[in-house]
Amino acid sequence: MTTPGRSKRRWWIASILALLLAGPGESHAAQVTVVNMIPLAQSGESNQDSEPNLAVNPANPRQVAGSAFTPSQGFCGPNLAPIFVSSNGGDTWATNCIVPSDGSGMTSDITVRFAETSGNLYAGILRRPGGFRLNVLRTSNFQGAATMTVLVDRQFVDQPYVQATTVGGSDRVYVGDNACCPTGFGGRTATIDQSLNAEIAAPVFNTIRIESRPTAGQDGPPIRPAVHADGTIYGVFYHWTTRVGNFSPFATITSDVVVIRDDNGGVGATPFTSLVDPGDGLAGMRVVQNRTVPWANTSQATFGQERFVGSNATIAVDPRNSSTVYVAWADRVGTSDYTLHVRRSLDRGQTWSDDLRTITDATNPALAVSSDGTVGFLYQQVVRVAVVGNTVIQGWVTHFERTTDAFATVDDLILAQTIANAPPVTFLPYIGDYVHLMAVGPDFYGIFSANNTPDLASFPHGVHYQRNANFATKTLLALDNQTPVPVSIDPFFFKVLAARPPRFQYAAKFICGKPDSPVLAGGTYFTAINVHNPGERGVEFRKKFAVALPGERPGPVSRFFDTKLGPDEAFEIDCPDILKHTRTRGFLKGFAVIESDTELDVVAVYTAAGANRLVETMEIERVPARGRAGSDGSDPVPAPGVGR
Amino acid sequence: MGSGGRRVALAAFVVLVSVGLGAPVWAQSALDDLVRQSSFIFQGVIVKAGATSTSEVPVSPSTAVVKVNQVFQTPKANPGLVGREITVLMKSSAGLKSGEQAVFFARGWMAGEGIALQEVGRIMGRGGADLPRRVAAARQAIADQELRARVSSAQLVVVGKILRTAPRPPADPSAGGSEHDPQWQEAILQISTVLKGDRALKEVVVLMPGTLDVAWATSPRFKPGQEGVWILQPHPNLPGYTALDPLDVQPLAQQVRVRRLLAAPRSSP
Repeated sequence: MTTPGRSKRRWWIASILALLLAGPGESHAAQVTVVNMIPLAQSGESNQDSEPNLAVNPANPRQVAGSAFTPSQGFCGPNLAPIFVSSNGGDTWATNCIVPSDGSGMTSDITVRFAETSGNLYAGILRRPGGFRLNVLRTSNFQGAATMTVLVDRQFVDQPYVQATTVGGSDRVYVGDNACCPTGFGGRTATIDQSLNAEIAAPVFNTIRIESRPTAGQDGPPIRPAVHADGTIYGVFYHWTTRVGNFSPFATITSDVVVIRDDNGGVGATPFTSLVDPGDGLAGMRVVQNRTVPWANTSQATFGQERFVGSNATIAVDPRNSSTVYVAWADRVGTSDYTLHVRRSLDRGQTWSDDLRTITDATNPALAVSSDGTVGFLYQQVVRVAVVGNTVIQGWVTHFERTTDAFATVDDLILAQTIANAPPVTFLPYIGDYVHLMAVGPDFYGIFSANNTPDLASFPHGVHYQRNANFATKTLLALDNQTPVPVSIDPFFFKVLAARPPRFQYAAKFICGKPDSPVLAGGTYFTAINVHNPGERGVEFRKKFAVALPGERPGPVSRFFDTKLGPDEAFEIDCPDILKHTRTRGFLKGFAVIESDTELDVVAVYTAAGANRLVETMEIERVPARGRAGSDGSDPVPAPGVGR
Repeated sequence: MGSGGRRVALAAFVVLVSVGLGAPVWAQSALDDLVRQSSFIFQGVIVKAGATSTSEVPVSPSTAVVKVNQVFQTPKANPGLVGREITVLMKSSAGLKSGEQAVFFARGWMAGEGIALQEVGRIMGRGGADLPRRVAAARQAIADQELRARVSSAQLVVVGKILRTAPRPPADPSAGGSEHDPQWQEAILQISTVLKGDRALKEVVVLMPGTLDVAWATSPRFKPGQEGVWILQPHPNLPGYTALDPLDVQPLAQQVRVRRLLAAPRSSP
């Protein structure tokens, strides 16, 4: 844990810190996985796969879908675009050509979400050609070949952001979007397109205006819903109060950040009006007012080639208690910064904290709350790395912070730290106007886009590339595994799985060496602990050593050491191993403790030699497993009995 | 089944029946329909029915592993298919046997550690010696149909040269502020020949997106001095024309082709 402080400007420092914080050999701490999502078969691609989004099936977290500005490259056939799909929890990915499109083979904005229990995947897209054609899509088989069904097809809409759940067997879908451009609803453009029966053949979608106040012509682009299982629906948006400039490409917006709420899933005559601001008596609580939001719809040399279009808002509700809700947004507090703010309400949005977290020069905030109340905060921060001649080398650092105390302390995982100057921008957004983070149970899943140079130094917690890459030469390679491929922007999936207690623990007594005091009979004692993996899959487990001292004194306990065994493999832990791990010499007694999620065969062999150095006694003991509560909620195995 | 589906089924039927009768003569239009829907056309041999070659695709009775022997069409992003085994999701797996050869018309389905395709049509056997020529002819016919659709719907088709480009005057903010705002730029197009439309026109304003936004990433941009054939639509709200589809700007060398497409009746390419 670290206390939030001044941002680190040098990523090598951050990298070292991250490695130090991660600690060695802590295999049962949170497990971090980062995967470059471009599949092997697309190794030759060099597209700008920016603005990613992610959906994990809550009913089966092994099913994961992702999206980005990823073109078909002619693969999909006419008028289809791909999404990313995984059936193994995001460890490996493929693209699946199921999104309706035009000849470009890609979409404009796209977000994806699974319903809670039905397995249906929904998408909100801006369908090409053109800029503002909303399609809401659905598939019941996200790995199938059938094109997603179009549920809604209308104009004019910007930045559809989909959330979904299942209530009483019906899928409820909430698409936050902006009714522009041209602006609709007399400038009150913040909108939720809602269906309470999205799973049926012809679902009804209602377009609900959630802005209750006059605006400076419109609201900001991001309208983000959040869903709680008790039927509470929140939403957050930028309420624009004044604007200076014409948007082409520059403007300065003055904005309030507004949270709306519905306590009954959007059902009723006046949805999303449950939260009233006492300041003006209108629906929608103004979390902050009169914030400056820069609008510069061009690639910004000082902001990692990204743009400022006020598209950075996020909201997350605590699954344990729908009264607890977090928001984050971006604005400008000085003259040239872009600053993220995180705040919290404990009373259903009625009152709000001051900033719990403030991050300067960052974008793409995304919040989620896990089942144990841990808050996850994903964002991408631009840092100045070096100056070479007249060129300032910048980097994008992708942070994932977790906190259990409202950001008094945070556990900051740096997922990626990549060059921001390359590749040159192809289109905007460069890395995205949004990313996504979600929690399923105690685990977090997220997605971001970044420079794809295969360099392990860029990924402090490791990374897995499916596409061909040579990490030694830091070169991407085409499908032939020989032809170099230019660096580009790729989507990266990550998951941070909560620490889980291992399901099985074995404590094997060891006695090593020749006693120099009369606690045992004279002689030399040997212990060999044999471990066998009886399963058909490889197993990772850990071991530590607890030293027992005479006179009822506890001895030191080593740290855990990670170990692997392949199917049906076995190895032996013997006295030299134990002495090495405990950094001791001479006579030693204690326990070797082995922890595993998979049942193992553990057998200890004890021998003792007398003065002639020949074996005089030998004992073989099968070490029983001590059951522990499984991370999957299963019952522990029976406690071992006495004996062998 | 929609009209498109019926067309494909009919085309496949014509092809299959033709092959079944041993007749090498198929309707070119039937082949055109198959080619139009396909991103992959290849001849191959079925290695194993009811199987897959890539872990992302679950095995089903409709999947088969096919070894590619000859490629007639493939996306640039998927080179080197000859000799590889790929997965094909068959339209119909009835009677499919290992060792059978066919020409497969397919679109991409999954790309993972390998690729899986979705079949849109099939010709049993090797397809005949003239298949490459026929596929090439189909591709040309499809390209002509797509370009003819653009010129048919255009208000103005001209040969000309861009004189200069400039930003448009500031937009009306009431039009809305979106990150997808096109940020229109004006290109002044000097007309040398009018192929369709008002023949009195000598110069028009063509609007092009000035933004880098993704929504307009594939729209053509013009430079002063650029010559070509412009296929133009009037902007619905602003004075000027647009050429937003990549097909809307053709090199000068395509002038004869565009004239031919303008003159040809719609029923033939």
